[in-house]
Amino acid sequence: MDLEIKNLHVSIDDKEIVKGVNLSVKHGEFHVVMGPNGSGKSTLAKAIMGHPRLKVTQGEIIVDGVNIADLTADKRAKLGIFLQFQNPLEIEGVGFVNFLHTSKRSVTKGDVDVNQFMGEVDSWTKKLKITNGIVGRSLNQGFSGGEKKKAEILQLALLKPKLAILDEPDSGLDIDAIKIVAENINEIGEKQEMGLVVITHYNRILSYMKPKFVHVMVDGKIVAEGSTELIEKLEKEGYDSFVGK
Amino acid sequence: MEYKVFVDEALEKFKSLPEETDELYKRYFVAMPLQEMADKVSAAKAAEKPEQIITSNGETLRRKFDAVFWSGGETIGDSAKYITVKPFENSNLENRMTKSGEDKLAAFLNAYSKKVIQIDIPKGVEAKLNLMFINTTSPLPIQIIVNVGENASLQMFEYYSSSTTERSLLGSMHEIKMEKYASAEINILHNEDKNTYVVGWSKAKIDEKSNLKINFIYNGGTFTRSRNKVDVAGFEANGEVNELIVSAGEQKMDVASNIINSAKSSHAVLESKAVMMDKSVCVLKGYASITEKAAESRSYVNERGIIIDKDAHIDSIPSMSIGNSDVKATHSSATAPIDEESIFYLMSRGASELEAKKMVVSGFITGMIGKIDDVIVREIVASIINEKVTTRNYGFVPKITTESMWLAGSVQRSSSIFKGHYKYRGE
Repeated sequence: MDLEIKNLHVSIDDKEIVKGVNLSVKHGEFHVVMGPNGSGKSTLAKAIMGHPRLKVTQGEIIVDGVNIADLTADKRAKLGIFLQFQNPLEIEGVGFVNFLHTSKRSVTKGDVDVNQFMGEVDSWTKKLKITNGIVGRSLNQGFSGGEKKKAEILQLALLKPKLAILDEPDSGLDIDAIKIVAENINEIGEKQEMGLVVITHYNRILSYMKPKFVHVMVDGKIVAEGSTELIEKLEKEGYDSFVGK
Repeated sequence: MEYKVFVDEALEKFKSLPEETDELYKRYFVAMPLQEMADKVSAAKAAEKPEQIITSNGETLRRKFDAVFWSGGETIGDSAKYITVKPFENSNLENRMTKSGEDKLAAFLNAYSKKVIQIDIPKGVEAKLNLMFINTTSPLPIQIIVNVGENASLQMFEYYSSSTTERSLLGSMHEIKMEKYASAEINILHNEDKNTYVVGWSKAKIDEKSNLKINFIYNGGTFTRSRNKVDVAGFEANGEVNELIVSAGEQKMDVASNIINSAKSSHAVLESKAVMMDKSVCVLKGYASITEKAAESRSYVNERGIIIDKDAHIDSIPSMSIGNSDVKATHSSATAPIDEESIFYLMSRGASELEAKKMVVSGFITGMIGKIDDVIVREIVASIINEKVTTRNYGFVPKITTESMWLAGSVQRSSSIFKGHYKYRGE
């Protein structure tokens, strides 16, 4: 899947947050978007996924040559786009396994073999070291911060999207968990030849990953682009050197 | 009695009742065309064909009914050996209620009742009963008197349906008595059609160390007015009232329940959940009273609502009266619109907006459905609600399937409610 974002402007309640972003993610490419708090990274991610409160006032979100700006989130998910939420929602009474099964059926548009699916759930739960398991638990309810992030990666592994936007997969994780999450993202991404866009503030998780492209976002715009040397520059100079560019 | 006089008297009476302290009831109550419906009593139509309805509904519901009642008569199967239908004049219920003046509307229904359904579960007997009520065009006032004997147990399902062509009234009245060490689960599912006005009235008294759980599911009827009173009157007795309200279109639900702790170490729970769609309105009142005698007792009232559409409305009014200082008593209320972020989250995983809403609603009510011990009834309720959330229609039986419902949620018992609720006090 190829994603092409052209001059994207996004507003919420008439306040412009994303102010003309251009971003190109080709099939299987690994991109990182970094930036200070409030720079519009999460808004960009939600706009790509189709959040109903966000208004695209200008520009295009093109997937495989088709502008998807008018599609609802479920249709984008069915195309193969996945958003890992920074703060996954807790939904009372909705069983996690049932949710996963329904989601899988929705995105694959067909029946899912329950035994095979449960085997996959079990395997990825172990790989991600979700020690309390997920069977019998409501969706994200009572999950620790780390469990929530791991549960998002579990969904990524099971739903097998073509393009995944991961919004701060490392926030709230301890150092061991960051490594587990990063390694699993690498494995899933490589197996599925998945396009990846990882949004993060810090370079710790990136020390376990090999992104090809790095973008720095400040005040709703991409102000710098390059390869991993940009991460090193950020580590040394912080975001201040990019503000006002 | 003149309709106007009746309404005026009823309103005057309701003003003095603790659970009737606001004007909302008045507004909807007056809107009920009681006189018009009462006039139909004498003009009951003979053209009703209840057999067809029974067969159709019975098969679809996958539940064999022990007895079926409709406006023109009843069919009582051999399995219903604990049920007797008595002529109304043999009962003194009307006199007691009218004299006490407890409920004028109940008295109104009494005035038009013809029969009383008497259910007696003898000492030590375990019984299961399934009753179906079909409201046809003529009014169907039903009086059910239930006595669960010492050490006896009863699991009862009452399914209220209707098949009408014009406006009609269904009255469902219960008087339940639980003797010592008895236990009962009574599941009351209202799934009447859009022509039907539903009036419910229930009163229960629970003796020493006995347990009563009543699950009310209000799904049907254009207007529902229900008043329930459960008196946990015996030492270490337990009373649990669960109310699940699912409202769509222009349905109006007016539900007020009163739980009373009137004995030492008694436990009373009232939990209500309302799902509000379209332009429906719900007035939900939960009133708990603990008498002076009820030392070491516990009382819990919890009301929660979820608003699916912006034009739906709910007034949730929990209240308590506590007459003994050595008790644990809590009430709470929370209502919110359906969470937009939750819908987006579910849609981002491929669910359509409707599917996402259904998931959220199912999650919201799954705990309440889980309180129904009768598994088949649980399936019926889940399927009917699922259909309603999907189509906004009610009053018919959809294909019974729980495929899209989330029944894996934990079943919460009253004991665990108390445990969780009081843990901040170090328990």
